[in-house]
Amino acid sequence: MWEQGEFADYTESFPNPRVTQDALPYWAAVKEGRLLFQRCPACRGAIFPPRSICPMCEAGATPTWEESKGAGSIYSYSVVHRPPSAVWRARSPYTIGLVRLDEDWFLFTEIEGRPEDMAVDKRVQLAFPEREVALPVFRLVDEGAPR
Amino acid sequence: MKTPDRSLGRVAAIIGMGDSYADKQDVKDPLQLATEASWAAFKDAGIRKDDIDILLTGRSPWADRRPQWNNIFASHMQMPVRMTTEITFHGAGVNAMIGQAALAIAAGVADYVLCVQSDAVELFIDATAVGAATDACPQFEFPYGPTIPTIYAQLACRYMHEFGVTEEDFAEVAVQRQEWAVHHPKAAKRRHGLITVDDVMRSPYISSPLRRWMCATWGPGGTAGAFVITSVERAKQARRPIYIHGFGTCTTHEYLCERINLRKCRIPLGPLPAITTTGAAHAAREAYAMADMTPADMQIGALAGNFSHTVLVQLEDLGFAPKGRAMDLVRSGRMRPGGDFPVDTNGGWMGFGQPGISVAADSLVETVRQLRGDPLGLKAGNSPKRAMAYSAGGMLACHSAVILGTEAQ
Repeated sequence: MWEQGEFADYTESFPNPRVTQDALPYWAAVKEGRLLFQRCPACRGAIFPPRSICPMCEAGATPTWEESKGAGSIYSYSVVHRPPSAVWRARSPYTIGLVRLDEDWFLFTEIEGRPEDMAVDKRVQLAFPEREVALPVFRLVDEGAPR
Repeated sequence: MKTPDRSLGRVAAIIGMGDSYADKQDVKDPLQLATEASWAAFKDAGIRKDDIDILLTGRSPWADRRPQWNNIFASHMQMPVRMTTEITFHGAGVNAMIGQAALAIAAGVADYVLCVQSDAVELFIDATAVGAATDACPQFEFPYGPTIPTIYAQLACRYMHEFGVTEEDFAEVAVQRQEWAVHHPKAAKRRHGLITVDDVMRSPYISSPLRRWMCATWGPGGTAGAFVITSVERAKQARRPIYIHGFGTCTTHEYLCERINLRKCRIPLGPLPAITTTGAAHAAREAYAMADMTPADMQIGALAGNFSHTVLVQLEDLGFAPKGRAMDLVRSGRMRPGGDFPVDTNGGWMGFGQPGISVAADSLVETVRQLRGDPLGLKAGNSPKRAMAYSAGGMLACHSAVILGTEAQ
């Protein structure tokens, strides 16, 4: 019978991303507080998650890395009221959503802000808060604030 | 994409079905459940264990995560077979197996194929953390702390946004599932009795906009479904054959972060990027074409609605309602007990519950039982002869549609 201990890491501490070879530059940039994505030199399409060959065209081209400006909008969101494990409970409720970056690619990410302020199409900006595990998250942009 | 040969909808039939159940008072593990269901299926089919040429299972049960579970089961049964494999279509596996079994029959490599799936999550593991650890992308999703409902809620959010559907609409879907579930002796939510829209709206958020009653629950403790498939010719000698009129499958991705970044797809999913149309539409189209039938020909349905909004999206993708309009069909009452198009007659994944990976087998068991007029719960009032049994797996990832009927075509 399968042992519960197999997933112990996930329930007793914040999980680290399981980094793939394709994404090594992405995570290296995250440590520097930058957000990277890929672009196909042939079809010019934005690519994410990272790949070694563009999956969107038949050119078979090696994607190039680009830095995101970190500006985008909420495509979808959900406020997590029943977290997956004990470590998340202290932080809940927190919001997880799909953010559409202005460079036209999507990140599954956390959106910081009051749950009642969340809405589809609201503008968000990239942030790298101090956390146990470094991750790019987004914050609601205060539309009324001076720019 | 090549269109499957339509004659494949006239080659195979289910001649034996077996089901098995467990709970806290009667604990059985996945091997025991699958064994019990398989022997019941052999008996129902009127065949011997040693008649089985090919064994298909789904991926290993959550409650017994050993790889090559299909082979472990063949070994446990002392049942040498020509071929065995797991159809790893997530929860859609068991429906996909029916199609693969029909292909094996059509190719002439098997006289009898056994398809079986079992699980018993509630009796053996804590699935909340493990679930997301399995189905969220371990690199770009899981580190953010989602649960499975959180991932599915992204579709719920978009579905509400794009089509003006409300939480009260989602509540009505839950109410109708419960109307069937209260009559099924094995349904996990039976004990709660009938519910109202207010009851659903008062239940706490799990992951907004999804409230507790809008989500499938774990349980019943354990289940298994086993199916013996043979040729239409052999089936004519069988006691209660159920004919396989059509099948179709489609998989579009594994993780949601991949699906939302999909920009080009040879399977029609509507304008991309978007997530409100799924591969179910393609799977169903292939099944209807093979059966030479339309959605209007279906007299009963079994969905894979683990949440209120997936019930709605599936009704649309399977062709029972235009995109964004499934609530009209819900409000019509046609799918409720006594309606002329009963759907999810065991309570569906929301009312019957999700014992684990075997949840799709439970829906298929229910479909076969209703077609035979032999349900454990409430009988469909319209004596259905043709059924759509659909299953979904993963995070909107894998889709499998099977059209079954009581009469050979």
